[in-house]
Amino acid sequence: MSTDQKFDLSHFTLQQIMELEACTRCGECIAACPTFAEAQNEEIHPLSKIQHTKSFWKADHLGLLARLFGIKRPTDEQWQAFSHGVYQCTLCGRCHVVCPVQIDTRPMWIAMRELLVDRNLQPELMTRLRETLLAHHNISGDPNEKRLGWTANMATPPEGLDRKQNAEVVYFMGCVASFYPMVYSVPQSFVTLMDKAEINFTTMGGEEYCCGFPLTIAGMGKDTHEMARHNVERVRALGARALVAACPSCYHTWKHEYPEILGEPLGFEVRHETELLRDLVHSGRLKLKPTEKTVTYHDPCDLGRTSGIYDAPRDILNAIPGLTLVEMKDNRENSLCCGGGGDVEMSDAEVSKAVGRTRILQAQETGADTIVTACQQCKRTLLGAARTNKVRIRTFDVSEILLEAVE
Amino acid sequence: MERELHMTIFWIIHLAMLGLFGVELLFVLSVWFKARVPGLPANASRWRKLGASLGGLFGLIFSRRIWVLLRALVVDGMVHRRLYTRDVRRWAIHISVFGSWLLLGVISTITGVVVEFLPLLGMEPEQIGAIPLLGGMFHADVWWVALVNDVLGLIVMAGMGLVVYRRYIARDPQLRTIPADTVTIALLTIIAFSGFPTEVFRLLADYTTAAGVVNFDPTMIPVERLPEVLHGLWGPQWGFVGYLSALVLGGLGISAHTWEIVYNVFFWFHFIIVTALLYYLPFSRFFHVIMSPVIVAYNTMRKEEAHGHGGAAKQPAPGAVG
Repeated sequence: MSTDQKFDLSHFTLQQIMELEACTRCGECIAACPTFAEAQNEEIHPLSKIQHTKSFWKADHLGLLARLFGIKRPTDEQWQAFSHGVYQCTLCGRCHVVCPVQIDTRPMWIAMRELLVDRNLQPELMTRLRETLLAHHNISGDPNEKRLGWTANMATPPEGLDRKQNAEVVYFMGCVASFYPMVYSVPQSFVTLMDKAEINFTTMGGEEYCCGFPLTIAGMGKDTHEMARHNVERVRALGARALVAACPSCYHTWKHEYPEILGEPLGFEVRHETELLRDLVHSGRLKLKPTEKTVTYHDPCDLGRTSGIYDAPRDILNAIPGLTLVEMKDNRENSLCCGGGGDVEMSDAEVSKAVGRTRILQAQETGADTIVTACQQCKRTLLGAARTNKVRIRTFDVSEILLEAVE
Repeated sequence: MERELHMTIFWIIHLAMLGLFGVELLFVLSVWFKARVPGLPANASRWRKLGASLGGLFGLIFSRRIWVLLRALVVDGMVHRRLYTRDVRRWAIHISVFGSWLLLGVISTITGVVVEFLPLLGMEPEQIGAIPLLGGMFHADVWWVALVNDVLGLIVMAGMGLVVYRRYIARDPQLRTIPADTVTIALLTIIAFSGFPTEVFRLLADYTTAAGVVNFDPTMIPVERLPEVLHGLWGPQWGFVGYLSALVLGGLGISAHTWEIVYNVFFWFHFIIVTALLYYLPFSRFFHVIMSPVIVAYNTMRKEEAHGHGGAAKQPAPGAVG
């Protein structure tokens, strides 16, 4: 990278350039940023990122006029600091919720990452992530054929899990559920529930590729197109009417990114596990028995703020007889991040852990014995936070707690 | 006559400066079109992007969505509903500055049209003064014009005072102050606080007799500037801040000619600062005054379209699968 390289405005949309100018510098986002609250690094908060981007592009494109008004070209050190701040963001989108101007911040932060990748200023681990994903088609680097490894310790795995033709529903497992034993219980519970409800479903097995979400948010969206095409072709070939994902990030990618990447409708419906499970509960296909529990629900950022699904998981929990749902201080669109988003776990694990700690302590404050979420990555991060900080609280995915309540 | 000539020179310079500002703004906007426009390849020409954007804009204007946009523009862009729901105190500070500047700007613009452009259309001062409501803006000493200007001026000053207090004295922890903030706030504060002296010196220049005594009488103003038809509406005392200050300073016994010179100095100083702020606009945080209402209205409209009026996303129909 060199400061000689001109700021490429084409990483941003015209609307985003206007949004940069619309920022009132009120600082609401600073107070709301979970990463800044922990790291206290001035480069992290949204206000700083917007200010830098604005002055960087003006310095390069408005020449003498910019200089006249005191805007100087950034140095290499300033670019590095900017990169550090941009990649420490969990992309939780809380800044958008509190922004009085409603700046669409999450896509803005991703555009900034694309700009940094273009200038080869991304953290080294992001480069390695890309290499891993392109070579192995999953984030862990494990052999992709082992995507169904989580079925190994199931007493009786449902039949037809691996690429059954003409199944009605394809369950997209996602990389975290497939390769992180800590959360194997999530796909296990979910497929058991679908089996109990007699849903005709299958998976793509070893042919499932990562949805591409980790690359998209790393600012490497261009590298995801091939994965998107592969995945969509496989689902079409299986002849399914719908795809269901338990991972909110995968769900968002399938539902909102893929049609744009392909430039056409997918030809099948995309749903999140909570939407499907709510239907199964409400239609009586899953019968529930009383369960005495007090739980709190953690809204995953990509399910809530990014995809707008807040009610489905709560409807499921409220349908379980005897279960009491108590809300955390910050809930629904004001929910705190668990710390597991934005690839921050890779770029700065300590910050990620600190954010998770704050969230698990909020859960503890409610007095709930269980924290429920609807995301494998959130479950993994919160579970880790509870263990590290010695918080006595159980961490469940919605599918797990529902399975416990099913007759 | 001297004042008329002075104002004509002012408007000529002012319009020329506005033209230059327009060129500056066009240059900045032309660079914006190096950014992507959804639906077009990244390397599309800027003209093509402009065409597509204008097409989208006209499509929006001539659709039912325009009503949603206009509602959001008023409720969120002008009244700042979101800020109000978060913090009434900060909303009050912001709306006092933003709302008052906006109204003062609108009044100045209409005054410019009434005083300088209607005569160019061949209208006589008496004819202009007779136009209901608009005619009153032919002179700043019409009672309601004086009242509105003074009240808004006071609100702006109070608002700017609170802005300065919050940012530099109380040092609100969520604020970050960079030099560009200080320059913008300094210019705005100078404009706000130089407005009243300018008004006071105008009153003194207009109403000081040859004997050096202040005499508030409408006949002191030539009919070319204050047509007789407006004498019934004349009431500089409604601009209570300027009026009382002029009464006090009038006791100094300074000649009308001297007051005219002082007034001219303040008038041009006020004008230069306003022009400086205007040129600085695309490079300062102050650009948000234009952009934030546009963006908040557009994004609120899109959010409501995607998620419904309540904000939560519409769920797919139950039972669609399984």
